Amino acid sequence: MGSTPSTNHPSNAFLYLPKRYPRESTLLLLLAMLAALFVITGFVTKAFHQKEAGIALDWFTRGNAALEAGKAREARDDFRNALIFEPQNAEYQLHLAQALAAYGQAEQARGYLINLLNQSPADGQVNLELARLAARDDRISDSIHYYHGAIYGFSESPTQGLNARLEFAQFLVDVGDNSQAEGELTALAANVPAGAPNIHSRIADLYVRAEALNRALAEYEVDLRSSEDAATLAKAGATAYRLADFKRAEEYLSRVPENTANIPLKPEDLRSMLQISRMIISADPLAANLSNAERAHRTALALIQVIARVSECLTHLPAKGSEGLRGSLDRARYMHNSEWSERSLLESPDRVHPAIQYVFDLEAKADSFCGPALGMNLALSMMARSHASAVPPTNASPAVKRPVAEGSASEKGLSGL
Amino acid sequence: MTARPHVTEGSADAVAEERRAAQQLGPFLKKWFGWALPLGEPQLFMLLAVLIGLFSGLGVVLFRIAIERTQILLLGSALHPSTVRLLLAPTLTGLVVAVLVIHVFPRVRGSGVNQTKAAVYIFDGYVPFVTVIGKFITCALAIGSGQSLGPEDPSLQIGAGIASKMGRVLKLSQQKIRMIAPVGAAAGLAAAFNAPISAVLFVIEEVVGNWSGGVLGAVILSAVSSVLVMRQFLGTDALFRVPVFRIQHPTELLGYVVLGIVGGGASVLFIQFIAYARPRLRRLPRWTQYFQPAIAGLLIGMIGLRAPQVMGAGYPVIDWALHDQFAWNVLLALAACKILATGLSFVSGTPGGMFAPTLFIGAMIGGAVGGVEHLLVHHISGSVGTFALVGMGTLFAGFLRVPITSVFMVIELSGSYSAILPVMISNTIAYLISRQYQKTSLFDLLARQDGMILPSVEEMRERRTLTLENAMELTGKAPTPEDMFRSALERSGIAGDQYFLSGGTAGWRVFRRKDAPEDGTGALGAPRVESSPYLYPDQSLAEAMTIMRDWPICPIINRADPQALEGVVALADILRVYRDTAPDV
Repeated sequence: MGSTPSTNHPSNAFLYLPKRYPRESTLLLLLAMLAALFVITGFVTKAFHQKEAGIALDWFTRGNAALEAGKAREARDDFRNALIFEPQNAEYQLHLAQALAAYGQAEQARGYLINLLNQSPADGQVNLELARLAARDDRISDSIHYYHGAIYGFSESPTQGLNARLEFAQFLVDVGDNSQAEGELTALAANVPAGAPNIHSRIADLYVRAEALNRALAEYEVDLRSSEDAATLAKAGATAYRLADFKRAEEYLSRVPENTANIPLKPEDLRSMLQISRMIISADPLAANLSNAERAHRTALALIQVIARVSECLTHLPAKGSEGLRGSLDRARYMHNSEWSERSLLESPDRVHPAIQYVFDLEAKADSFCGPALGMNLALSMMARSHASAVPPTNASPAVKRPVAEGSASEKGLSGL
Repeated sequence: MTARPHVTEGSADAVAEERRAAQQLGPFLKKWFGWALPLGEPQLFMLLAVLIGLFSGLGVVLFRIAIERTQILLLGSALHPSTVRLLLAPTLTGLVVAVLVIHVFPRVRGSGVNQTKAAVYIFDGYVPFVTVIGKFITCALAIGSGQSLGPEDPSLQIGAGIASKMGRVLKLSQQKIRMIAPVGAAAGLAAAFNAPISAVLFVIEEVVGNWSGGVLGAVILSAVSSVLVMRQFLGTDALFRVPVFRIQHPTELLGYVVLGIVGGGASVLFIQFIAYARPRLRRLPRWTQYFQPAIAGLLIGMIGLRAPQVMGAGYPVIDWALHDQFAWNVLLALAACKILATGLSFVSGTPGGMFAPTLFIGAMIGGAVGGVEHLLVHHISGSVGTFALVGMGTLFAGFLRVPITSVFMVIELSGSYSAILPVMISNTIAYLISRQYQKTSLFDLLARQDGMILPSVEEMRERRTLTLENAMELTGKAPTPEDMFRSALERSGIAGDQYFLSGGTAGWRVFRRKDAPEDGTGALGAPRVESSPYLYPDQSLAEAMTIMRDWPICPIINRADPQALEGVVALADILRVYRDTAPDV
């Protein structure tokens, strides 16, 4: 710079400005101040937003913990506190809605959810929460509408979409719309993503509830092919049993390990079903691939079994009113000693079918007079169901088509599925 | 200056050096900025409006952050603070605020709207900058400690103060400086509400009082720039989000009529509470002013023990009400508590605004009315939240008496037009009820309590504009143009021989014979008559007097057909109309 003044010094030029253009110079100064204030405000705002976000996150975390602990009211207050600092945070709003719903303030929850839905109509989670609220209030058409929205909203997220569809199917089963539920489950079963654990069992459970037992058994079997889970085995066995497919019932039930926890069926029911299944397999006169001698033997044994049950039962019954049963018993005894003796049956295999049909009819009649059958007699009743379509009914067999005696141990066990 | 030790200012060397600098810089400036330099006053005013908006926006952002930081510091981050905090924070802060207001910032007390109006009408646009600092500090402390007041009115005054300071620094003309405070006020309010249209309307509706083109452009520019700054730092979202709804049947609007009636009634009660309590507290001995904000704070803290929602500005609680979070009886209780808490804060002289509390009370009353209507009429389509939204506008219209602003305010705050019809109906009813039962508006009332007689914008709005038609009503109908002319001459009391009436293709005119100059200098052939101007029936009397100049009578012609004479007005007619319609003083 040197010690002598320089005419080219920039400060000289800028000293000229305020004198020639005082207002414009002041404006420039104001612009510089504005820039500085912008920077300062930027720093202050950023720090403040971070602070707010931190506080909001703290409350959100506390709210989630409270919600998981079942403290819905605390969770609601915590989420509200979080929303004070981040009022537009959709996740916080959603969690607040969940807390409100859990606390029983469905209307308040719906207010937030509708607002979120307006912002993002295809949001799967919001639709799902609204569907749940509608389901809770028995607004079935609304619920179906929102479930559809949820399934559509989760189209990019297969796992969540799967769960939403499962929940939807469960809702349909709950409201008794089994046919639509079956349709949803069929669509779901056809699009199960790879690696979804136990998903076929869950589908099968819902099929069972929708009374689609064949489809249910097929889904259990899909899961069993990949891993042999005790609960799945038990449920598959029970479903096969209800389908009167005793061979498969025995197959699955016999593979259920003893004393296994987490099976949604009582061990005694499982044992009973297995026992009955085994009895039926070993005593069924109409089973395929039997020799004539074996078929005749099994038929004769069945006849003896039902005669014994009815005879024992009649000793407890008054004579009046039980004449019909007594007459049937007399006929059974007579036939057992004549045309339906083991020898006669062996000689004339065509008598096996009428004989066994008579046994089934008599078991059914005994059920109505003597109460539910047990042991081998129960097996015979189940056999009747199994062969209901195979064996032509006789004129004395109105009850043959009844599947299992109501209230029997095995039927009670099935209801637990 | 210190960089040039060898050049003494004012010396010959210095002058020469500056001249050289000017020679170097001159061509540069001319080349690049010649089109703009020097800035004319109108351009500077518009540029300044943008700058005011930017500065005000930044000021309001910092102000909002200061309030929230103070609130976190004093009350904590939970909605339900501890009892100790609830009782001590507003009480002790009230003492601090009182000392600051009495000893350091005496002008921060009172309404920012009225102080801005006073700047326009009394102090030539002067708003001391120390008031800006004072408002910032005392309001941040008061609102942050839980006093039931809002940040919008202080923001408005912060904007006005910044504008006034910048106008003075840039040495604007007196006329421009007087106009600059409303420009800043609009910027401050727009940033506070994130609502530029409402801010512009409010300033025009309540502060300026007319739609003058000169100030309107600047007000809009400043409001827009301040909102841009605010959104840059605090986000673009509307203040509240509400579900969209549709009126299913026109009869549902009856529900909003009920809301308008209730809101109007509540507005009257609220204004009358302030009208009653404020002057009485101000008449107490001066030493009590040290304790009034603290006592108000203590009482509000006690209310906060049961209803902490009423403390502070209460925006989150309004949001909850808009989302149907409260039962109708809770909403009603919150409205009552808020009226009490806000009344206590305001009449105690604690600095802060009434906008946010008004919205709060309106939302709660609206929600309560909606809740009751839902209980009684099940098929009503609008949710309780919708009623809360409409209620905000309703109280805004009834309490602050700004009917147009209130409608746009609701739209801007919610970012939704779906409630426009209910808002218009309810707001109008509340406004009319409030006007009927409370003659003086809140701002006029506060100004008078403060010893200022500011022009009442509401009265200005209602003032009847007198036109020539009013003068013609007094003169009665005359059958022919000649009769009209003679009658006007008689009313004027002037001789008829100097004037005559004549019609032509250009329309009717009154002509006046001119005397020849006495000194004989009159040009030969110069016209010896002059024609009058002409008027239209819808022109105002003030405008007519300007046009008539020294003519005692003037023809009134039809706008569509100049050859149709509607009447002849005399100056005396105009004066008679003014005399007959003058209010009693």
